[in-house]
Amino acid sequence: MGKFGKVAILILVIVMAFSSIAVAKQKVVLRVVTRTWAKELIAYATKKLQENHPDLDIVVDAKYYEYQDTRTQLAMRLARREPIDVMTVDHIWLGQFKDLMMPIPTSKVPHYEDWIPAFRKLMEKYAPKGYTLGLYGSTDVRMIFWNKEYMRKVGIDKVYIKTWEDVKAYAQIIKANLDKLPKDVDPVGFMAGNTEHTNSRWYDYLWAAGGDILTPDEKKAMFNKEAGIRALEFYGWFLKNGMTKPEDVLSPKNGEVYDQAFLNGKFVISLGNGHWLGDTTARNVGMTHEEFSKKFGAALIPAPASGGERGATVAGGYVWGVSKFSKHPDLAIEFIYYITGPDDWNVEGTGKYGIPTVKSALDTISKLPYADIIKQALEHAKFRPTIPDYPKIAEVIRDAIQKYVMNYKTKSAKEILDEAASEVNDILSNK
Amino acid sequence: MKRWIPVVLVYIALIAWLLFSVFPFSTTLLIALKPKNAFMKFPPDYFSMKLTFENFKIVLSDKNWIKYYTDTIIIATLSAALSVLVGSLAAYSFARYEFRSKEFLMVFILALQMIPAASVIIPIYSMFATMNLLDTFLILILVDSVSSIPLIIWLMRGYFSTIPKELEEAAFIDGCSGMKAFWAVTFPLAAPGIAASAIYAFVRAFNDYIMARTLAGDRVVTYTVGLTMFTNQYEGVDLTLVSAAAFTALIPILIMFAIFHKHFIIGLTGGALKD
Amino acid sequence: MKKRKWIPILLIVPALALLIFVMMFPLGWAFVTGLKSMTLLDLMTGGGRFTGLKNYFKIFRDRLFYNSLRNSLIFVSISVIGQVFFGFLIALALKNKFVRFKSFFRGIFLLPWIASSVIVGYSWIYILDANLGFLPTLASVSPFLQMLGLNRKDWLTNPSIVIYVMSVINIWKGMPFSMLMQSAGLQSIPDTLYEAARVDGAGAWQRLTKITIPLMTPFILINLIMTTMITFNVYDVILVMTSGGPNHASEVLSLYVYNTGFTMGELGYASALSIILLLVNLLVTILYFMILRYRERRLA
Repeated sequence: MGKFGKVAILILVIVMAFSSIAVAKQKVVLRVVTRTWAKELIAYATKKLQENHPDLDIVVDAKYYEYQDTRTQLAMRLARREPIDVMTVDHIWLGQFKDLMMPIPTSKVPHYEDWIPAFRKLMEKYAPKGYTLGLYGSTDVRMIFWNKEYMRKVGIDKVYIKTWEDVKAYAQIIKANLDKLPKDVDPVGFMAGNTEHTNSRWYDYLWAAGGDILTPDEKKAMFNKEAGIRALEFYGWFLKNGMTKPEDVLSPKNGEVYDQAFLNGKFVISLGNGHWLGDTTARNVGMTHEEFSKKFGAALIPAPASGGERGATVAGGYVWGVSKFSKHPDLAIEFIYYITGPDDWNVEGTGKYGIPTVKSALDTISKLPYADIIKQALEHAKFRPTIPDYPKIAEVIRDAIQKYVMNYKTKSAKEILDEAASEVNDILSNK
Repeated sequence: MKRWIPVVLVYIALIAWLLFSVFPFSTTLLIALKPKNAFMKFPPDYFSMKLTFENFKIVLSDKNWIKYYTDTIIIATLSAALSVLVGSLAAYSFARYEFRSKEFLMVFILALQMIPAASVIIPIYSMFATMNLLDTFLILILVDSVSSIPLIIWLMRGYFSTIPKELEEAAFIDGCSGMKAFWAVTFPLAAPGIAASAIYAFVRAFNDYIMARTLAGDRVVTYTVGLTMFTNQYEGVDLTLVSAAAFTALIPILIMFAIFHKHFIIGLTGGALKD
Repeated sequence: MKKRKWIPILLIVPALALLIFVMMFPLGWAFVTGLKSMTLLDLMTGGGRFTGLKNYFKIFRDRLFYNSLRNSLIFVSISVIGQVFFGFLIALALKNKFVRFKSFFRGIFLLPWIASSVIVGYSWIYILDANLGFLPTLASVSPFLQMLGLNRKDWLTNPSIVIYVMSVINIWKGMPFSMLMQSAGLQSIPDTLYEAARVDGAGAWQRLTKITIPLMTPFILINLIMTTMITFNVYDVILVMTSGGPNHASEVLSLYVYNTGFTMGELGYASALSIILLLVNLLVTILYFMILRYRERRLA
């Protein structure tokens, strides 16, 4: 063993020597871990920061990751105390990352009062009084969309969707006229892929039916109560009546595949999509806002025929925070302020799109397709739980939705949701 | 009449598997040659004859892609060199010398190969994290080498034992030292085996995805990881671009194999398949 | 000549040191971590707390573990049988004297084996994807493919077939390795045996069953066992194609270990799972040595 030990130490020493050469110099490097879509935002904030500190040589070293990888990378890097300065955290991960984020005194954030109170509350949830864990960037809402061209082809010129029954009625008309549409088009689609998108789009219907994910004290599952069963059976109705097929909605990879399939014309009605479908997703396939509005219609998420809440939607979005190991916390706070704050919302090239969480910029919503519907939806927006166990719970619920889609012929929604609920209760009770 | 039946059957079988082997790669090539908008409609347009090299132009002028590529080549080359060197030294010892616990060591090395990558990747990650070695060339070179060393030892031992000891001894008598005799006589004779080992180790390291994805992927990015970033960088699925990138990554391996596959097969099968 | 004693050991040391450093130490770590409750974030504190065998008890109640074990058994048995069977057939076909362009065929056949799993994964996604894939698109306009029953779109999204699709892809990727091993075996059978049989009037079928298959049995056996060991640890193509979905329908044991560790961040539990995976491998290895022993004894 002695020999091996020496060899190992020798290798170690050589490597350490090499890796230590890389550092030094008096410039400031701001390390950022963020999502792939944030490139424009980072470029804008970098420019602002550099302009404000001409005395410093500021370099922003940003790493961009896909959704799931962002969480893993943050966890791995922070676990080894990497001095990350700025981190982008989906707000549903807040519970998981709360101990790794540096509480920011709200007094250090300009215009802190400008943030909408609901979002401020979430940002401060895990921080001591007078502090916040981060700044909430733009948010998003979900709506129901349909393909206008297809609707016209089956003889429907004006679409009014208010209740679940309306959707079913349209689906029946479409199904009766499928021969007028290209081959293999499904009357209805919904997301049942491998990411949390599957959950969040289903929650809209769960909430619309008056249910919730967890009990108010966040100690027990509630999604398997009557509202949850109704919401899942609503999905099931389309499967059972041949309005859509499991293989078309269980996209193997991420949410983008489903969204793009809908844009390409695979489905006539999509039960739930983020408002960004008409903005960034459409832009990715080279479609302008006008083209999108011409081709696709949108409405608030419908409610069940009796009771329930129309327009229920998840409010998504990311919190930009400063990591506990940041070497330049003040610069980092300034940086995330540029990204999330009220400045320059109306200016092109800042990367600031989506739905602002600051009051003074709310008027920019009107630039988005179906702005009035987005504004209405925003009034019904709710948050998912942010407890540390939520990502784990989300996997269980997603599995349940997929399992139902796969076995709707043989298993009841209640059976599947009860199973999932008992698993969630296990997670919540003992760790 | 009877005689041509087996001939036809054999050829049908060979050509069928040939088409099967090539089918996915040719589909990728077809997609890579399509204009972007071919896949932005439903159903996707596979059948029109509109083809373009635009995607290849974009990919080949992408600085990141070229960096991923060079990173991979560096890692694969060094790891092949390391594993061949270390592996053949050990193999030589096993083939030439008798010593205590030799049997045990051989079994031990073979057993090490049985350790599943999935079992050690988490510990490797945390071990190297504490040594601050994540995301370096060194870690991927080490890990990739280790994954080919056991097979190389096994292969090279077979080679060295077919080379008569007397040859070496003759050189030894001629005044060479032990090491010199090895380099002058045995090593050149074992060349086919060494070539095969090198190719094997190179290809393994070149194609590694899981280690590269988990242990690096930031400063050091291999093309396999880079390929998955291609999908993300353009959000949404740009089939045509990813396909073009995938195909450019395949070409060097194709060329290498077109040139070396004979050596590879001969080396790997101990000369049993010379034709 | 006095030095000789330590030369052989010295030659082995570098290889051994590397293997121990990169394989044995981590394995020990996995064993210890398997006894802890620990997440990725606990790495920072060096920590997690010891919970004894709790993780292992949990494994036996974990339906996803049984699910992955079942998937592994399907995946491994189909892949191995397919690879060895087709490897044997192709090797046999290539052995015929009348076959021309042998090295061309062999070179092309090696392609799937040498291509990276990422490229392989993407290529097959582009063929099979329900909405964008080549095969579903082609099948919807080709009566021939419809006749063959290939006009389905749920290759990657139907939970009851996705694991079989993965197995077929793995046969496609792994066949060349078996082909090489079997070819080497076939080459070891002296031609004189066949000539003698021909003189005695044995037909092609008899030559196959009376000479080739009996003499090839040891090679086929070794090939079977080696492929089994390799296949239990294969998960990269599945990771690229479905990440184990939909709803864990294509999640094999090794992928479950990976997903638990890195996607879910449950290091402790994943380490315990990885020890179970190691035991499965060990079982196969022991089988391998037993069969080798048995053969040696019979030959002796």
